Amino acid sequence: MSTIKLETSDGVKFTVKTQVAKCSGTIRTMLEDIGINPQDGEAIPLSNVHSTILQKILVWAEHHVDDPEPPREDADAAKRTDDICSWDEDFLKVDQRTLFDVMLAANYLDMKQLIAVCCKTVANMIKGKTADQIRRTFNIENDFPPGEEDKIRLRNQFCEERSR
Amino acid sequence: MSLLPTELLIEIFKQLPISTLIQATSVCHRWNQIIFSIIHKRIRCRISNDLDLVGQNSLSRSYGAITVDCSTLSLATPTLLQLCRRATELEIHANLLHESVLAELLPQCPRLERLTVRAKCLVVEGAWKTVELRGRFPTIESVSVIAESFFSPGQRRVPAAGGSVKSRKSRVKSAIANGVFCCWKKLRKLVI
Repeated sequence: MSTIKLETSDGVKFTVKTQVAKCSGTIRTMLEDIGINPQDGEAIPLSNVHSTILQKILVWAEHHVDDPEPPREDADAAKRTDDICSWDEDFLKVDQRTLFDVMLAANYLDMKQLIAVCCKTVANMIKGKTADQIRRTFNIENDFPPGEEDKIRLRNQFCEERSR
Repeated sequence: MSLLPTELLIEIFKQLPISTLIQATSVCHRWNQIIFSIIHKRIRCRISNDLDLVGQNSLSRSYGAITVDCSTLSLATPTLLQLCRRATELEIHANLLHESVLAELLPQCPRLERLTVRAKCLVVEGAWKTVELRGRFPTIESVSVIAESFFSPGQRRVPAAGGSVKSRKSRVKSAIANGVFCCWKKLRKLVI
């Protein structure tokens, strides 16, 4: 089983099965297109990813390494956020900061399936909440000028989804 | 949350139903901007006599579809113009509608595909102003103007249906058909 080395932003080196590392589109491109030779023993630098996050992401990749390619999603199809597998659900039961760090790293590493499952998780945290509850959940500052929010709310009452 | 780049926020928002997203526009400025950029086309804004209530907002938006429902529409207010700017579908229901409103409004809706007008009385002052807009609407596919009566100041109000009025109705009809709507290249359906 071939392995490659990855080096995180804090200088920690990981030895990873090539197959697992290739869950990342970014690493796949480096290996296949740019022609970085993993046999050289030189670590691939991942300057945007901290070791604690990479560790977590590798656990995910290891678990999902044999997943079949997902079917192409119809952009207009009704979205489901209740189809997160229970393993992923447990995997993403982390504090918000970690969740967002995983998302950022997955984005950098181009791991579409991981991004998708993170986005669904965050979407589920938004669903069913009022604007105020959302702000409290994610610690978002209400940066509207005074009175503006009421006006937006008022206007939103006139808005609805267009029927096709 | 503020750490996430716009592309990831968009991915998150794409997972949510439109009704949730409409609510979420009042979370913060950034969410408001991003959400509107991805859903404005899929929103219908229904406005009635409280038209200006909708528009008193520095974050004014325009929507994919607008339905205006009011008793009298004699002026294209800045609010209305703003709301319709990116509309592909415009419906106007009014008891009394001044034709000049259409003439003012339509040039501000460069993406308009479907126009439906239902008026109890369509007021035409002098010449049809809409006629002067000929050829400016390459995207229009469907136009439906249904008026129960037409009225020109200085003339008696004439019901569109019945007796001697028929010729007048057909005159109006041909004025619209020849003068304006036939210039709209994609036009496939015209009901007057």
